[in-house]
Amino acid sequence: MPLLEVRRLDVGYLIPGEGLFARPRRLPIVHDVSFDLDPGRTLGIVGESGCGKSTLGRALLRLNPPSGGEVLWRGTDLATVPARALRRQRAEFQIIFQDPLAALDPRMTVLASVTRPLATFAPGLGARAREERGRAALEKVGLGSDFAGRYPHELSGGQAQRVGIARALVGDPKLVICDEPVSALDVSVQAQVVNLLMDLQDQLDLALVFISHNLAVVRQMAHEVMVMCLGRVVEKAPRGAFFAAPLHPYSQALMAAVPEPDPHRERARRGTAIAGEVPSVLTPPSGCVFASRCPRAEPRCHGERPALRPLQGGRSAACHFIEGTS
Amino acid sequence: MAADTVARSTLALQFARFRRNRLAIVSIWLLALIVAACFLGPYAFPFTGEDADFDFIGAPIDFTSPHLFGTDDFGRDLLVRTLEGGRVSLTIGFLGAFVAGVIGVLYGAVAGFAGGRTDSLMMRLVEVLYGFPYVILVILLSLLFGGGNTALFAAIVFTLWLTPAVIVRSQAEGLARREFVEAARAGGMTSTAIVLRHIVPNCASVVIVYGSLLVPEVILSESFLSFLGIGIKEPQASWGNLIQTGTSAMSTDLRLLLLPGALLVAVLLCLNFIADGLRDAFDPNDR
Ligand code: SF4
Repeated sequence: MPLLEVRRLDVGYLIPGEGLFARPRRLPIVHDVSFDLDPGRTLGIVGESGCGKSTLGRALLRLNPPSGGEVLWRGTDLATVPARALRRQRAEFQIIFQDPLAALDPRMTVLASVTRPLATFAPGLGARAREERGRAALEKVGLGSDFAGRYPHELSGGQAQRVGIARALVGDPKLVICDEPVSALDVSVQAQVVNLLMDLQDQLDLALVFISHNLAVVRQMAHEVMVMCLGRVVEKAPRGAFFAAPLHPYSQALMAAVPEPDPHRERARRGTAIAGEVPSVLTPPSGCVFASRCPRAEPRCHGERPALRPLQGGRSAACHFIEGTS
Repeated sequence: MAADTVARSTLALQFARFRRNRLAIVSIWLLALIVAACFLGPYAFPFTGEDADFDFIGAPIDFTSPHLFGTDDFGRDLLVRTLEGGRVSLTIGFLGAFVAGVIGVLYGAVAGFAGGRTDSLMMRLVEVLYGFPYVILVILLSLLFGGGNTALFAAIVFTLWLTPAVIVRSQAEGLARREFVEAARAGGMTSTAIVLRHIVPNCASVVIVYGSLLVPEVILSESFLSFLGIGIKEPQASWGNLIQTGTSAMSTDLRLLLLPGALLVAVLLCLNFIADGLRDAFDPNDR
């Protein structure tokens, strides 16, 4: 049984209606997402900002409730778990954030931040034992004991992200959602944090959901890649196949938008960055989510939404012009 | 470097900064002196502020007589009355500010944290209460509780918790969107725990600064309310009613106003300087 099974998940935000007593409206953000994740594996979710990938990540942990579909954690639908038990169970699935400093309470020491979740996850534990587990978690992420008493403003971005990872690890999780965990860090530090995450994954058999717009990092970390556009999955493929030849026009456009290290090719590339108007989530297109910007779009694309169809080699894509196997 | 020298908390830094502010430090000492005098001073005299001394009625200031600052028209010692009044006024001031502050902080933190419709309903209520005519409120409360100290306290707390609620709410709203709140939720904390452990402590600096301004406000509203006839009643003294009698006799005799007036002003100034010092110490943009 997979660790995490996501079945046709929809997520929306409640936004206040006009006027004090109006009903709040639900603004749909993520539509019809399904995937499985096994222990020790990494799913990379890529897409432009605003495509719903962060919202999806939080919904996987029930930090915001899905509006449809289900999330099965080791076979159990999380929606059926009572609130109190769910809080305990959160030890098993954790999250690390994009802005590592904002993710730490400025008034709490590193050790206090890291051990805080143990109050819920291991309520029987004494103060001494908690501190030991906190220090052990800091050790795992490469922070010595002299960091324990520091405050967030005394940390660099990379150190703060390590603290965030230690906090996620303190309850021995099986799954960690990484929401753009390196995009706020210096390039030199990014590699260290990526390597740390990969080492931890090996040691602890962690499953990771790695959300990023940075294709280079996803290529390094992910076993499988899922591409999202405007809240919908447009392509899903094993890492090797995907980076060898992305099939969906949107994936191809994303790939073309990656900066080239070679300045000549970089200049040639410039023109190919995804041009055109991104449709607003308030007025989603009735056809293909990429139709307004797709170079291959035809009238049919605007009127009819392509389904995500399985293809050869365990891939799938949602485009009228990519032939399915079935 | 030892770990504990590296690890100076923001709070410790702020207090170090506060200690460098001379005026604020002097104010703290002066305030402590006034508080000590009000609470301990009256025991140094053989009479209380309610004992009439018929040999000295309306006595002038005379440092050789037993009544250093003279007596009022009933022969009651003015110095002792002022100190005793200070005990009442300072108690009401600090207690009222504390209770109003706690209510306001919790209300504001919950509203800002909850956001959405809960927030707009809660803040709408605050607006309504803001607009409620003060005098009518006081009359209602005195009908409800009688004219005594309960009504006084209720009137003070009822009006003064609103501003801290508004201030804390805007802070809490910003804090609730920070990722550490989401991290806390992912860490299995309940909303109540998040408000108490993360939101309220992060509002602490604003609250401390505003709280120190709240104390003089409470003392002043006590004087105003005694003026409206609820609260501390003769023969018990408060700075409010002492100043009130003092002002009515002001044109003929400044003596009655002098001592309570001077002490009240001193306390107000001290608290303002302390609040200023705290604000400077807590304001990160200032250095
Ligand atoms: S369905 Fe049409 S618009 Fe959408 S990606 Fe395919 S070709 Fe482009």
